[in-house]
Amino acid sequence: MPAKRIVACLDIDDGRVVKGRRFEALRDAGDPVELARRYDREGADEIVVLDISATTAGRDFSASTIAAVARAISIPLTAGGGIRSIDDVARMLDAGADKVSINSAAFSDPALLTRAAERFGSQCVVLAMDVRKRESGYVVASHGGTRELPIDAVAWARIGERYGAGELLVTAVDRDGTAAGFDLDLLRLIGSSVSIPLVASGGARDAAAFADAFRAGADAALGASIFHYQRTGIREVKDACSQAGFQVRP
Amino acid sequence: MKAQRVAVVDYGAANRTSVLIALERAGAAPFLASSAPAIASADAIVLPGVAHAGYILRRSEQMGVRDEIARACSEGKPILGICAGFQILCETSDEAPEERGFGIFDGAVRALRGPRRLHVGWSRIEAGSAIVPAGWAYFTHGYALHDSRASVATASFGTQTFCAAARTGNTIGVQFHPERSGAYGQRFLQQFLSLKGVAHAG
Repeated sequence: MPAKRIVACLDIDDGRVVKGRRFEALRDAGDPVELARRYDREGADEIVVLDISATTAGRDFSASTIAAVARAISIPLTAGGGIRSIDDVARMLDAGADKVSINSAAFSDPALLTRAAERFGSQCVVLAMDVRKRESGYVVASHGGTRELPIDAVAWARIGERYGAGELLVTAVDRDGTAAGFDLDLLRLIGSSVSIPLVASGGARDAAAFADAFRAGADAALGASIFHYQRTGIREVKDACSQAGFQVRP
Repeated sequence: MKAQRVAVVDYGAANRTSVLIALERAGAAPFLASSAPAIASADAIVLPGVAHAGYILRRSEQMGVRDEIARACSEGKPILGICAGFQILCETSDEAPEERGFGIFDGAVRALRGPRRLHVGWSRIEAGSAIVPAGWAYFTHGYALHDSRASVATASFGTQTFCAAARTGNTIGVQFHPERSGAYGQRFLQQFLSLKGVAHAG
């Protein structure tokens, strides 16, 4: 199996990296190019850049941020936020992305995943799902977590896989930016229900939390504030995962 | 020394921009090429990946570049196929069983199996060679070449060992993504760029 991946995520609003809690109370966290370059140097295995307001503002993804980050790094780059069509996917790749993450658009048009996979290959298509915990179980939210859908998270993950997604980026909205630790129950549920790689997101607390996510079945785990505010370094996370018995890229 | 002109074949899919950036970093002068004359004018050719094998085989037919790529292979011009761009250089692929590949590399391109159907992430290249040494590289694929006599490096996914790189003359195929494999990938691209085309020797 490949090494467990430590992914650094840059949430972008108006050209700047921002970070909030549970998708709200955003504050500035730096320049995307500077941060991406630092994470590449520190040993991140992948960079994810999400334009967090593209869908809610009804505008296109700002390709210029992707283009600038793509030139600054030599590790894989995933772009997401506001991708609604196959042309949007092509535009992201032309800006310099290697994978695209599709979220809200997949609800109204799940076949978008299929069309993208038939042209760019399934491995290029990441289904991002924002998940909220309710008494009834885990439900899916869209439009930056603002709309809750009557869809079970596990069912949606399976549908996404069937339509052609090659990877799942699962964010526990209630834990986003809270440093509460990843939602391990959610990871176990989804990880055992699909046969495509699972990226854990939301709640990266400390180095040990990443090893917990891998133990729960995640193939990769993503951190944002933990790295932006230098609470923990990527190298430190990798050392902890390695000591916990997981193979990481040196 | 004049930078090598490298044609990155543009079939309307693929992470061609990532590939252009990495080739520039490695010292080449890359350009997107979507016609036979453009490809013929290059010192070397790159077939990028991040695409469906069937899609890019059909596109290369429609664009009228298939024969030019095949001719360049037989003339010994340096050619690099990445990921799906590598798989189309093989005979057939399970991803597009209805299509005929270039047939440069023998063996079978088959779907990966295991608890995960896709191999996504950094894996160690084993049993390497001078051009593709052992080291960590980034992979993202659901299909891979198996049992090829042209194999020059392998990697593993679960219990399966597959061909991480193949070479026949100056035609090289890599299953990993050198354009996004950090320093390892850049060293490999520099190695590729140092190959001397037979037709352009001297």
